[in-house]
Amino acid sequence: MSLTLNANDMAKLKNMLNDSEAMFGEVHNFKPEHVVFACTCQGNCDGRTSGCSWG
Amino acid sequence: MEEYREYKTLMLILTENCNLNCVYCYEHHKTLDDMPFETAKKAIDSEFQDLDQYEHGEIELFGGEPFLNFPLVKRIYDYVMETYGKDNDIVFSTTTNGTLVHGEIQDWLRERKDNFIVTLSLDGTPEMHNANRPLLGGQGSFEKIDLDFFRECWDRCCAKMTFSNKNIGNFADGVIYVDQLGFEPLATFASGMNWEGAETRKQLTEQMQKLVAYYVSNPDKKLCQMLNMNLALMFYPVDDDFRYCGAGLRKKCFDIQGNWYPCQGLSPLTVGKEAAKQFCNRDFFDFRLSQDNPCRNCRWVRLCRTCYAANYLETGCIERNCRDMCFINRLCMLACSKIKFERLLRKKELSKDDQLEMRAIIQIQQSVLDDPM
Repeated sequence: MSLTLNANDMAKLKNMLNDSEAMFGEVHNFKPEHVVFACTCQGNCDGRTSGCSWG
Repeated sequence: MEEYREYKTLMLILTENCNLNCVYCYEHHKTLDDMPFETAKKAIDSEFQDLDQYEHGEIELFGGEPFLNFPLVKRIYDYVMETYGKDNDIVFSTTTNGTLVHGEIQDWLRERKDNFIVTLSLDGTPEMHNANRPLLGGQGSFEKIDLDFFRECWDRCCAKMTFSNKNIGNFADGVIYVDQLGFEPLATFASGMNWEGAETRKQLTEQMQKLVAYYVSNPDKKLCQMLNMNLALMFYPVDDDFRYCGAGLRKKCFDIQGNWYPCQGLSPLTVGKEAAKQFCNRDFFDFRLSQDNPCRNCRWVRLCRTCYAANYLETGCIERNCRDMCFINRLCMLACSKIKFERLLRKKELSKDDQLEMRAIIQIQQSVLDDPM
């Protein structure tokens, strides 16, 4: 399966985005509720599943 | 730094010894030495003296292979539970190669499975696993693992999967195999490997396509770790709170001498005694991305899987990412964006939160058109 969207899928996605903007207004910024790390495990390291992905 | 005070994690390297000889092992300075119990006790007491200010405490028992010193595992567990477990929520965790987890060790773990979480290192199919993770004598280690025990004790037990250039040509098969065995695949690519070259990239791409097809045709399955991204994070700007991970902030790693480091990847076991001196007693509260770091202005930096220790080993600098990983990280983002698109199509009703995800998918997909991988 291709990793990229074809033109039809891209158009479909843009329409979905337009619909969402019409319904909810435009959302451009994001701030997560909790501190988020961009590490190999994106924070799993500090959860209860132990270690980082190196382990 | 109130936000970091939900819990306190203490990692103890119980032993520098291991009974395996994994091809990608980053612990280049292994010895036969173990941590004395008194050293462990001192580290625990110093770190847990203010445990009542945290929601819970976690102790990670690490190695080498921790179960090479099972008596020490038991002694530390008993000490912590007797001293701190009555008034605090304590969780133990460990990562094991599984080869020694039989008989008495299984019985002991089974009784404590609710607060002793075990992660198994498992690299995929038996062939993939054995190619990466031979015993010291050279034989494969897969057959030494009692998979049923891990599955019975922990629901969707985490399986840490590492891909080397020995099994890059079938890493998707490995993830699917482990997932279907009933484990949670925490899949990652080994650092210190050469991921350069057109053929390697072709293989990586083909395997990623296979993995995407699996997750698209199984829409309720949780994505494996390397594809499980919150794409909306790309709209969260890099600021002074930016960190690669919780090393040094939420976690301290004590080596067998009782010295502490931000994580095991920056301890003497990994980088050697001399190099580790610069990381001894160092938290990363003062860490900042340099102004001239090219990652600072990269729009994918919040999604990029980066590790201080891997960076140090690869580039000699904790904040400088190995450039090979850019391709792999972008490939993961692209794969994730494709799966998320397919899953959005299946949703009956889209929420406000989905909007940022849609925006991210468009940007990621567009970036491939603008700058082909």
